[in-house]
Amino acid sequence: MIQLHDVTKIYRTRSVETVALDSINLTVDKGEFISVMGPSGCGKSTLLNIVGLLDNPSKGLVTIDGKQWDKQSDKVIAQVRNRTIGFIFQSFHLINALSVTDNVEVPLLYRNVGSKERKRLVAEAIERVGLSHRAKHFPAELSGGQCQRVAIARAIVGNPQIILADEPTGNLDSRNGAEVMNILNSLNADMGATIVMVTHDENLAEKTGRTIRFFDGRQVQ
Amino acid sequence: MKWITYTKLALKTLWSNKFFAFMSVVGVAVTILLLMLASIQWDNAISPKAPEVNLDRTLIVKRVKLERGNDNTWMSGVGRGLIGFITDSIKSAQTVSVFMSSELNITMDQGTSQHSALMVDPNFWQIHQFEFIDGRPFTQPEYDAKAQVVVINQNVNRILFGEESGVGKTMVIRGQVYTVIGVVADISITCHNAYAEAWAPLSLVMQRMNADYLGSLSVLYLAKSKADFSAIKSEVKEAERKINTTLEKDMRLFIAGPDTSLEAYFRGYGDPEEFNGAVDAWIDIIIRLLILMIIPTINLIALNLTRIDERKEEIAVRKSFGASRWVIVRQLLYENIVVCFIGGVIGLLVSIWCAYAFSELLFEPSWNQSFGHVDVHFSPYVFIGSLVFVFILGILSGIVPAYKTAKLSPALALKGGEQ
Ligand SMILES: Nc1ncnc2c1ncn2[C@@H]1O[C@H](COP(=O)(O)OP(=O)(O)OP(=O)(O)O)[C@@H](O)[C@H]1O
Ligand SMILES: [Mg+2]
Repeated sequence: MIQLHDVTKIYRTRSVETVALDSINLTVDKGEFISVMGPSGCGKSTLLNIVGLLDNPSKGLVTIDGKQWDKQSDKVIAQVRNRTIGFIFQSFHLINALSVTDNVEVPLLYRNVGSKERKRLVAEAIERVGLSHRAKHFPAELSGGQCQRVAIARAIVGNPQIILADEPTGNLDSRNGAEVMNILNSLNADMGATIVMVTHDENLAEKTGRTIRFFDGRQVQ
Repeated sequence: MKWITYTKLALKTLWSNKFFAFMSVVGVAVTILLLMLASIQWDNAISPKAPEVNLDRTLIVKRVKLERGNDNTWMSGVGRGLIGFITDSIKSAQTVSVFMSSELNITMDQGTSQHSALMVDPNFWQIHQFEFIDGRPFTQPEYDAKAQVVVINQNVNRILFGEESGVGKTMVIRGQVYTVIGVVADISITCHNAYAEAWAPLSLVMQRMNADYLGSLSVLYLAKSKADFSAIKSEVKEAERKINTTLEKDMRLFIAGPDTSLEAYFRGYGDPEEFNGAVDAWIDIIIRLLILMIIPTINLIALNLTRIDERKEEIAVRKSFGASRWVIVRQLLYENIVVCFIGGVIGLLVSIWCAYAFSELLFEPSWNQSFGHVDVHFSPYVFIGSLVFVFILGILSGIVPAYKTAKLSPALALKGGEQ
């Protein structure tokens, strides 16, 4: 499903060069649930951005669903982001101007789904994360855990094959964290979604099929 | 995405930042207000409407300049001495009318009242189409016989005769007894060539005028069609040339026009020789439009650009979930057009209100001292033109910020947005 071949990402700022990813080779099979661990700044978010086609590697090849996308047009890449990938960001990134419902609807706006069908899918996704009673609220009116769940609903509403979750439980207490973990587990088990999850929590990592570890941009395990 | 989704999205976004929305809408509304007032004023001056139904086929000469040497210049209306040269002899014109504006002191038993008047010839009634409530205009024989007859408007009729028609009744003007032969509907002061409250034969005062080139007359030419305008103009210029050959060596006569209604509107009271006709008039209009357009465009571009930072996160999120660059450009452009549209409609409504509320200020020509009746005329073209203007404004002011915003790399933008 996901293949990285010799992927390197170098950030160049005025004076420093940061090697965020150093020759990463990684294969994630369809239906796998893997966790990514490593100290802060080791390149975990960078990895997810590259897999999610939000950023280009400085070197190396990225293959998603058997195809290489980085040289494609903006329109084609947008379509892959829309259909194939669901992103859960490290810090939610909800749109503050929009209600929970409208936030969750975002991915559906960019495909051909009628408004009735959109409403149904959105309601379903919100229910799945247990936020139906907050559907009309705005992000500013929600707790951190609730925001995280909205972000999850948004990532799963379009039923993507790949879910990239960047510390989806990082802002949550253990109870809420476990709940999020349950949602991801069931997505993986019931829908066959391929999940890559970044986490700092060994306990959660243990519940995933495989854990890869990073250190200073290098895969160490 | 469908347009309805875009519209909903645009309204939601605007609602979430009311200050920005307010600033943008007000900017556009003020622009449209100014544009509309200028256009309404302009449209009222140049478009045909009763009784000036033939305004688009009329030319007018109102001003003449006479020079002696380099030191002496006189500018005024047309004098009686010119009439023979530039009226009946102009063959390309279908009808030519000579008239003069004046004031009439009308004395009745109950006292004297002053009314703005035009002294006109019989052709005047042919060029314009007055709505006679009662009676009729005067005829050529009456004109030639210097009959003391007068046509009045409803307002004067009401003042002098109440609800009864004044036709057949008499009044005293400058010690002479005049008979009312017609009553017409009130004329809007925006009809610059026909407006008055009373109309009497010009022949009554003609003989008292000097046979000079300078005077206070105006000459109206009705052309069969606009195509004859240039022929009429060149005939008048030819007449001017002929007159100049008869003048003393250091004298020179210049006739302003004949002007179309548009040219007359823009001519003003400067040196007539420095006015370049329609070209100048159009350049003037275009420059005014551009100035009107530049200010709100820059204003909106600036407002939109300052918002890029604020909207980075949203745009990056949308891109991560499948919005292409083009979709983002469309979304932002659409928002901007909605802003312009709301501003435009507000400006439009306010301008209609202003046109009525401030009609004195807007439509009273400088030559008129006492304010008269105004019918504000609204042309659909002015409305359509304003809406097109709003649309162009929306695109012009939206495209650069939209394109700049859409280019953001999602990964970088989301970094910046991290708390
Ligand atoms: N846009 C950027 N410009 C320059 N350097 C960057 C940029 N983004 C990330 N880096 C650097 O790349 C390295 C990896 O960053 P990344 O965000 O992937 O870390 P991370 O593993 O996700 O850390 P954390 O656990 O704190 O989220 C860091 O050293 C960071 O400073
Ligand atoms: Mg990170």
